Amino acid sequence: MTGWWVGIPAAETTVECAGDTHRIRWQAGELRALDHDDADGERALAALGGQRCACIDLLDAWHRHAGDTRVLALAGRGPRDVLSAGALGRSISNLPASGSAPTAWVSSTQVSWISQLPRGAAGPPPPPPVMARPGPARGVAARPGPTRGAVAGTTDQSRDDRELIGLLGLGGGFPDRLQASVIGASVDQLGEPGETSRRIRRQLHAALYGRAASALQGWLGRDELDVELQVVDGAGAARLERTGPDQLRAELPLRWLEAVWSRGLASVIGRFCLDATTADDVDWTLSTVGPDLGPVETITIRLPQPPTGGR
Amino acid sequence: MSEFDAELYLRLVGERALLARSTRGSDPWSSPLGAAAQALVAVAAIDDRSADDVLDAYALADGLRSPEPHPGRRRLAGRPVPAHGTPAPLSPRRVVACDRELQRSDGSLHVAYVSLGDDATRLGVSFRTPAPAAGRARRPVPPRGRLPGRGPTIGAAGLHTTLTDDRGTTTKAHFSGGGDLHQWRGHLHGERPLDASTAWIEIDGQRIELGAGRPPLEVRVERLPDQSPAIRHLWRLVTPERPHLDASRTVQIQTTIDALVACGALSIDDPAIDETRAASEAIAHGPMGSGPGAPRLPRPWGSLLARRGNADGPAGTLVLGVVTPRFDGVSLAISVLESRADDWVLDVEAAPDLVMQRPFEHAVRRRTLAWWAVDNRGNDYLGQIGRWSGGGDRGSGEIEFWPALDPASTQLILMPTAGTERAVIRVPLDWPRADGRRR
Repeated sequence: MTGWWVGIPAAETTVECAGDTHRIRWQAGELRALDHDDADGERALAALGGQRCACIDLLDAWHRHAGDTRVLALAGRGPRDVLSAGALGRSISNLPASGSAPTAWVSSTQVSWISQLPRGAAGPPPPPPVMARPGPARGVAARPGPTRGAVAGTTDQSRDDRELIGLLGLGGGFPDRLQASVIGASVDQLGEPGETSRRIRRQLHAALYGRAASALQGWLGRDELDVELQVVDGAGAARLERTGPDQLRAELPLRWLEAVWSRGLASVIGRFCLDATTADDVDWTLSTVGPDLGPVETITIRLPQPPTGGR
Repeated sequence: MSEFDAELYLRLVGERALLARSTRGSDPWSSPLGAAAQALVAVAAIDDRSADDVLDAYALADGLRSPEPHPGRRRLAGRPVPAHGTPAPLSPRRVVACDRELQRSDGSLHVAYVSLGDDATRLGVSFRTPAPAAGRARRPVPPRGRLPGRGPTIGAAGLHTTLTDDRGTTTKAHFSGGGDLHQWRGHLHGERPLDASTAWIEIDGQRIELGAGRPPLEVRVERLPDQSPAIRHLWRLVTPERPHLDASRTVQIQTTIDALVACGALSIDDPAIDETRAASEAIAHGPMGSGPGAPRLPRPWGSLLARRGNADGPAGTLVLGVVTPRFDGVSLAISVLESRADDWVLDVEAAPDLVMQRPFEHAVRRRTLAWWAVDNRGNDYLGQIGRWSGGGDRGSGEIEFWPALDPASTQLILMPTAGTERAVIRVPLDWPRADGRRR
């Protein structure tokens, strides 16, 4: 089975860390602090009262939110939906601060990233692996429970919110990769029973609507296009149908988000992509329709593999 | 047919709003998501918390796309700290009309009435400063809706008054209210209550003798007639809460109708849909004509709109001094009724505060009242929140009613109406004559 990260190009950004500019690299679903050889060792030192380091905090924050479905509601729906850098900075500064003095991380987009946020009453989370991978998607079960005290909960949530907004303010295509990670983790959980899975399905359904509608409006150059979405089970059933002069009905599976949108394949050479499959993680077969919504045509493309360190 | 999924419905409304935002911008007053959430909560299609979670997420998503700062609804995952218990109901008031003008070094203070209760002392006042000499800087106009105790200071010395009663109790009092360059109107709030039975009060040493309050008015609480929650919510939405919300109400009503129909709480051919649309349109733009195609507005809307614009109301002030029992968790103290040519106003305190809609803010279950009234000539009246201040346990201000009081009416029934109950207060319109006696 093809991993959610396959075909997504590597990305790099920089953060201010310990007085220097350090590199953070995302590649093949994994986040690395390129200028820190022993992240686990630095975490251990920090836990013993040593200096916290911005790069490691970023890795940890990424790990905590790599399955956070709130990302789906907040992050950009595509090139036409850009978050405001000013708003990101304001949102962080508007959140209540408490505990230890925060340290500003400045990413390549100059959006303040706050590290050294106070831990909640429950204590620090277990240190994640250096190579951050998405955990299970967080649905309602990941929200602070009612037994948590109001103050501790607020502090914890404040840190959580700052982290998340800070991640969305990172440059270099990192927010898109965070979305891809959340989508991948969420799709993996769809088959599980229970309310968490149902909630994730709702969030994916809404995410699919917003992203597909934005992509369709941009593809056809029609801002006023009213898109109706029907979620279908299999990729083979995906189709587009014009239902009125300004209306279009899209029938897409939830996995379109992972297979197509996350890889930036929603529109390719002027055609809208309904599905993308690969047998070898290199050559991809795209099922596409033209702007006349005529018959489905397949296109084969080759996506370059990352040079090293891939899976 | 698949089961209606309210949370998914709200999330899709949120997605559509964000999509529209990228091309049409954001309207802080007419969030379709807020209206849809309120509708679905009102008919129990979704619980408050789940609806709140969706609203929070999409409010922040909207905020992250706003180049200009706006007061976001709430933090992303933050939940409001619940209030600790229900605030105590308001205690009975002794309200005494005064009509006294006190000269001060910084201006002239007119005291219209004094309201004395075990829990609060409040004076209805207006304040005039001398006109400044030409060329002097304009005095800033105090903003509306300041919290008692944090109100603006008035004049160079400020209106930091001291109140005293005949038991020797002394307290500082602070002003809240609003006005123009030289005249403000509002209230003085004692930091602690004076004795409710005091024979006089002194304001910075100037004494005002107090007579007896008026005999108590008849007040009762009654349950609202049975009605579908969907219809009730729809009509409640039509009832304007604040005048400046009119422009967005059409969008909100349509969003509400869509949500109620989608969840099955309202039939698509229910006559209430056309009636509420017509009433909303008539409130915003005037009646839609009386031709055969025009929907007939049910009472009270027809009566209300027919007399809109009348300017023949009697001029006068009545002391009411009435405190309601708690209804739907709210208790009210209504001090005075002031009638003017084109409207009339109630001076009101509420416990807890009435929660009003603010830009970008859509609580899924708002604690608001519809202020209905009817007179003994069959005329209906509707109140809207005017000047208001407060927060938390207490709020106070003015409720402005329209149309003008019918000069021939001799009795008024006030009906502040909550979700399932309303208070009913019978008010004889015995306007005082020039000699101080009642007609």
